[in-house]
Amino acid sequence: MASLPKRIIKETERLVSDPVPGITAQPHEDNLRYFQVTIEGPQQSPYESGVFELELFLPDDYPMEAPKVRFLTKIYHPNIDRLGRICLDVLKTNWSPALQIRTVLLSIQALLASPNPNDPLANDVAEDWIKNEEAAIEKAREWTRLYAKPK
Amino acid sequence: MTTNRGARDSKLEQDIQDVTDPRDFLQTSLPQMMDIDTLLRCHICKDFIKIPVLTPCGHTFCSLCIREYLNRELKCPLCLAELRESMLRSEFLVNEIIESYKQARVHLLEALHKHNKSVAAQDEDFTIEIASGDNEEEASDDDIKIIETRASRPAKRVIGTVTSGGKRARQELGNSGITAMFGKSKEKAQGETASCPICNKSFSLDYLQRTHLDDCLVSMNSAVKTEYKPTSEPETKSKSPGFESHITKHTNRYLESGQNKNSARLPKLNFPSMSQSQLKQKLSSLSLPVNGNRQQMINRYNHFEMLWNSNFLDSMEPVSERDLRRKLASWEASHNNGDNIQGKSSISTMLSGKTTLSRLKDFKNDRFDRKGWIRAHRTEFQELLMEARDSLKKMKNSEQSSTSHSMNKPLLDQVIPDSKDVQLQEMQTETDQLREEPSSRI
Repeated sequence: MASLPKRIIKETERLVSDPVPGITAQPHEDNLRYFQVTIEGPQQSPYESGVFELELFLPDDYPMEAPKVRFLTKIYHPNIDRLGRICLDVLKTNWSPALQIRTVLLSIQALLASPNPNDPLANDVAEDWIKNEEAAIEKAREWTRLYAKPK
Repeated sequence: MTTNRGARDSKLEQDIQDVTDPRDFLQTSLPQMMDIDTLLRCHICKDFIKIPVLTPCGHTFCSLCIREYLNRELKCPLCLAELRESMLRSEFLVNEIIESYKQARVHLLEALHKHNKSVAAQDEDFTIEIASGDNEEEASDDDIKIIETRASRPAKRVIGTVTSGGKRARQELGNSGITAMFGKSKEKAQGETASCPICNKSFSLDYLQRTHLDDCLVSMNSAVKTEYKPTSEPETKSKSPGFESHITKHTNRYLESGQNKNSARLPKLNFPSMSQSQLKQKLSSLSLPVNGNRQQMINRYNHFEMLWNSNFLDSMEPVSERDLRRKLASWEASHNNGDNIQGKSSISTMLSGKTTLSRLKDFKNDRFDRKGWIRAHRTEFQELLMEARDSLKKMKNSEQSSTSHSMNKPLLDQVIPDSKDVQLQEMQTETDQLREEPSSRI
């Protein structure tokens, strides 16, 4: 384990003292590279008024390598699979060290606002979404009510 | 993880104190400085740019940051344009701007805070009105207007910002220990002031003790080292004939830059086509160690190439090859994640795990706090001893003969390589007991 780089300290300090509206990120007591994250569902999306829990981990090579993020709360979304893995370009090929935890979490919030069934990760969900969008959105709403209750 | 949490937390707290942020200016009377402070930082490490280099797409990064990234991806982190290492150009002017800004920053912040306080003292009556009142509307004003209004009623905005923006937001923070620590970090005790024995300027006591004294000592040393014009006196405490040339030292340095371009670029190697012995030859021709497996040797070369090119191609003040090798060694100490089975390196991995390299720098000389180290890492040492004990047992089981006794010694010596070290005696006695244990059982 390499020691904690200044950049991570700085980002954490900023996340805690000046949080993004609708997003919280707290470092774990025992591992300052592991964050417990919550994201509020964006307004006018099927995820509205839900609070989703995620985990975020900064690998040893961060910021040269993208952070690892996963949904812990069950969610019905074409780009998020059953294990909570997220299909998002900035987490994979379009990662750049100029990005940061803050921007990644904002991108995830934006992904909730605009699901993209044409580049799916959860194939079954994406199929539903394309076949009958209204029903799919209704199901997403129901799952939000069931699993993403604000605490 | 078996960390000594108390030690870790106090170190972390120190680290948080040491981290500067553009928002330090938000609470002063000159919030516009935040923009400059942000611009002078590298988008990869978020700190002030060290040895800035320019890309063809017009972006500037630390030489080491961007070279490390280009070892992975050949594009600009900001605009994703194609980028190769050979395209980077050093920017001496930016370097000097940042270096001189860094020196002025501390004093600038201090002066702005002082200004704040004196203004606040004058208009104390206004505070209540402002805290309850109209800062909402003022916050939305643009910068120019803010300057104008401040001339007429200076206290208002300043105090409004401090009370509403700064402290309150931070006090509302979560209850977790770590979280609270990050939150409170920037609220420095500002009560007492004292003057620095080196530069004679006065600072708040807390700041003076925690940060300024170190900074002042360091900048004094480096100022002596990096002197360009032979001035009559190396360092003066206050204004004197040599003072002016000290102030313009970055300008002078910039004007004199650009001569030392005699070092060659270290090339990228095509590792797949190289045999093991060719690789070793290459490493030893650069006086680098040739131990470890192939991947470790490749990583070693790549990192050294990065350090070398950054140092000799980009830096205005290249250090010696020996210093580069030292940097490489400390990098390796912190990056060999236990894939090395040798006992020695597992110790060094363990040591580097919990500390910054700066603390480890003194590991081999007398300034290193060995007793404190042993205390802080007692659990790790004990774990290592347990491991050694376990492997001894295994060995005993497999050998089942008297030969196992003679095998014990070298193994233990590997686990604790500093056996001659007097300060580790505490450990030693434990290991001695350990040595006797198996033999008595046989």
